[in-house]
Amino acid sequence: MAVTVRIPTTLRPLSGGASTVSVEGSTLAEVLSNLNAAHPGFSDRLFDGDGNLHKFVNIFVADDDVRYMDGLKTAVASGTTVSIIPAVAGGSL
Amino acid sequence: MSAERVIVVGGGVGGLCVAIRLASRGRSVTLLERLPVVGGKLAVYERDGFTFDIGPSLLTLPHIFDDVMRCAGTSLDAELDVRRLSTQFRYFWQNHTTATFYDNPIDTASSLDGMRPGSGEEYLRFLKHSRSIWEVSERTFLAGPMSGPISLMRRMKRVSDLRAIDARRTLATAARRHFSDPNLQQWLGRYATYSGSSPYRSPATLSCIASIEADYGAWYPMGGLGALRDALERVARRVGVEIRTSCEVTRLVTRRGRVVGVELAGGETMDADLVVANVDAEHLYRDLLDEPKRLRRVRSAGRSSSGVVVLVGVRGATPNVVHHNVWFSADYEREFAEIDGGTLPTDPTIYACVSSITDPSQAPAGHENWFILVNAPEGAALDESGVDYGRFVLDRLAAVGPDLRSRSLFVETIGPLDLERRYRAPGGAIYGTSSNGRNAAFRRPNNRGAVRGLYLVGGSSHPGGGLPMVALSARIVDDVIGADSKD
Repeated sequence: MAVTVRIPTTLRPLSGGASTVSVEGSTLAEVLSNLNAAHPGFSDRLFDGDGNLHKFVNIFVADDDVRYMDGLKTAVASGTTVSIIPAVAGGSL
Repeated sequence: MSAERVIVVGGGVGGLCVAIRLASRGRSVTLLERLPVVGGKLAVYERDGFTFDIGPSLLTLPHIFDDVMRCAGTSLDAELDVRRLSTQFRYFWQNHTTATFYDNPIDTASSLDGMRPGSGEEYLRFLKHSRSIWEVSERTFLAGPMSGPISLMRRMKRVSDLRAIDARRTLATAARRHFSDPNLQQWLGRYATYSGSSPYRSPATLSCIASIEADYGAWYPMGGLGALRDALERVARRVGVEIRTSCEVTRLVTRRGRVVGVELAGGETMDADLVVANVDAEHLYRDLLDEPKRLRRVRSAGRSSSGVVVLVGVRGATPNVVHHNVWFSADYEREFAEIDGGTLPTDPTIYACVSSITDPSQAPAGHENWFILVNAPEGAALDESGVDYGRFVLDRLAAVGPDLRSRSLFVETIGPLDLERRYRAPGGAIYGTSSNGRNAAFRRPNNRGAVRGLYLVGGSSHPGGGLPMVALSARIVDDVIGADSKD
């Protein structure tokens, strides 16, 4: 049940520089929880104080914004790509 | 290096953002603003209980401002109540069709299908394309300074990236390719005006703005865009930026090819190790420094267009309008041909922001605050034609949309020359340099200035005009100063 998570440039320091991370999970909540377990620090950036997705973070499962699917309960099929859509990159001079 | 003294000349949004970033790093930052208030073109006009944002009226990519706030140890949410609009825009065409764009692209697609069956599918397909342009642009074009095609190529990972940004055809050409409905071709073309450019001359790269609105949302800070300005000013002071208003810089002082300070209108000089100019690049290289070579280069980039702003205090509620509305001209090509020819459009596309629909604090109860903006050539004088152009815009609006004339408590008009006077923006160019022409992106003034220790931030420098781009230019300047200080 592996899912590929695309990591935006600004969050790559958390993934050790990797642009994609492969994790298990059948819902978005599980995927993100496993992402944070593998690379601690993601939860702080993706969730607000109440455990909801942060207002300024956009997550797409395949091509769909989870805001208009089932949010964190959105089902994620094996082989799907989950994109944390790029928060503008920086640092490339 | 943290003791380095930085002077920021100009307190526009770019100046405020860069001041916050540099002060948060422990630098000593003084920001000098010629006007009595900071914010630059992000300005507010108040009259008779009405509040109008007379500069930017829409916030996109709020995370870029969140990033600025986080540098200062706070967050955008902590400073402001920013709302994601569920209804983003309503567009009206003269062939009596209407389309509404929503936060959810699926709802937008249904609205477009109502206008012409099949358009919804075209829109969703186009969004994927638009998204891929943004994805590549943000990690290449927007990720650092731009000193020419080489710096862009260096940031590209693969050859296909160059094609992905869709810079080799115009926005109007791309619009014809993606949409069969002429209405939607016009809709896509309008994004060129977000940087004061023409869809017939600017690159299709600008179509990424459509997915920015669809994916990242159209936002509004409660209290108006003025509240964003106030938050930036407040946070700047909190991190120790010294802000001096009504303080005009008349000259940059240089010694042996390096900027060493600024001269003020009263004759006083102030020393600085670094100067960040948040003024129009044309004004910088013509008036504050004598740099004919850079000036020629800035001028070759071409000024963006200007606009005519009409502010109307309206009694009653206008049916069928939303927060952001656009009434399109019947002939878009003619409209831009007129603007390119230096004349005010005879059938202008009319944009109206009625923020009191979302935020009742912006108008007295039972009233609406109409901020109307039409595109105009830079340098255009409003009275040349002998007619009051503001009144003319309301007559045109009455012909194609609501008639505000009998319900208007007051009408105020701001033209290109007013913008030029107020903001020292040559010709009243709203967005600095334009995106017209294939190489516009490379001609825009570099964030590194003509002399050592000088940096450029704001709409007339890379990556261009508009709130998110200006905030990005501040981050790029912050990065570049960091890199230069290490050398």
